[in-house]
Formats: sequence, structure tokens, C-alpha cells
Amino acid sequence: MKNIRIKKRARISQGDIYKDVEFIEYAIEKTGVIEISKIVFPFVVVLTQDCDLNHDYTVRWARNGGSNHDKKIISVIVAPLYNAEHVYKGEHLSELGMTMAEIEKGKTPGKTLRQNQTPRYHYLEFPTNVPIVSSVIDFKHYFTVNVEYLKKHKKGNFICQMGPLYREDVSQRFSSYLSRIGLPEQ
Amino acid sequence: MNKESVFSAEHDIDNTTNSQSSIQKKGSAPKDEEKYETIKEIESDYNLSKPRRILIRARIIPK
Repeated sequence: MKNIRIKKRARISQGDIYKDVEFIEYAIEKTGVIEISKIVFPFVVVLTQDCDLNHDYTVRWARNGGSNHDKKIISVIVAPLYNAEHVYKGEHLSELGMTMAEIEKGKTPGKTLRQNQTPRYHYLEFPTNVPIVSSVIDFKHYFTVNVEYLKKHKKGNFICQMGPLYREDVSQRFSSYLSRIGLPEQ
Repeated sequence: MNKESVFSAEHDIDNTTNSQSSIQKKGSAPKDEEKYETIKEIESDYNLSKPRRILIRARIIPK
């Protein structure tokens, strides 16, 4: 991927990559003790439509926000980026006690993944000025993050933004994966 | 003509010992230690680049 924006914008944008984003698994209270379980993802990419993010920003933070909150969104869709080397070995979620399927790097499954022909995954390589190794977005692991949390988190955790066409490509492949139709096995 | 073969095990061991001692004489051992530390740091970063779970438990204090 050659087209990368390092300079951050004021608002959250589609294709932004942030580090150390938290996902709250659960928060329960029992007999006066609160327990919170969260997963910290080293890198995530923003998948929400950019026009939605733009409208939300205008309503939420810009001075000319308008008279109602019709364009406000509740959360931002993100998907994790995993170290490609970990993915090949099926070890990328080992810290969560999960073993994933191996993908043979040098054989057809690995090549298909790198050519972005495996619907579930999106392979990315970054230029040397971006401190991320070759990574894989797993569309199955998408989750949502609170807008205000992400806006605050962005400061100090913004890595880069994927350039035009590349981010649209990710978005289009994500929506295609999400809208797949599971047919019964014969 | 009973010369020892240069490919004998003893010859290899001798040479290895000699090369090690020459490295030590030059004071390269600490450098190797530094390299080892760097490798460990990189490996730990490698592990840190995986998602991890954090569990927080806190007692609620009523106001």
C-alpha cells in the first residue's frame, strides 16, 4: 500500500488506523464488586462510512451542528489488524487462549490471502515510515467502539490513514463479506 | 606421513575453542550479551503485538 496519510485530521475518518483500542467484553456488578473484562487490540482500522463520520462530527463537535441530532451515530465500526506472521501460524489470539486455523504462508492459502482473494481477510503492507508490520484485517472480528472514546483515544494513538481507493477497497470487501449468504451444505 | 586430517573432530573443537578465546580477548562477549538483550526485547514486542485481555475488579464504595 503506497498511499498513506500520516497527518491526522480532527475527526475520525474511514481507513484510520489506531493503536491500543479497547473492547469491553462485559462489565458486571455483583455484591458490591464490579468486574470489567476488556480486550486491548494493538491495531484497528475504522470501517464506518466516511460520510457518516463526517456528519456525526458536524453534529457533535462543530459549531454549526444544526438543530437536531438526526445524523449522530452511536458507535464506530472497527476491525482488528493482526500481525500476518502470527496469522499464518494461527497464533494471533494466543494471548486470549484461542488457537486459530493455520494458513500455509508459502502455499496457495497464503498466496490467496496476500492477493486479497480470501473474503474473510484483507492483507496490508505498509511503507517503511509506518511502524506496522505486514498485517491482516479479519472481517469476522469486527466490533464497535464508542464515538467519544475513540475521538479522545485518537490523540496519541493515531498511526495513519489508508489512502483513497485502498480504504474504499477495504470497505467494499468488508460489506461484501458481511452480506454473504450462507447456503446449506448438500 | 601420518598427518592429522584438518576435518577431524578434534581439529574442529580446537579451532572453535581458539576462535572463542580470541573473541573473548577482544572483549566482544558483552556485545553478544547486548545483542541477546536486543533480541529478547524484540521478541517481547512481538508478543505484545497480539490482542490481550485485561480484567479489572473494583469494590463499589457507596456515597
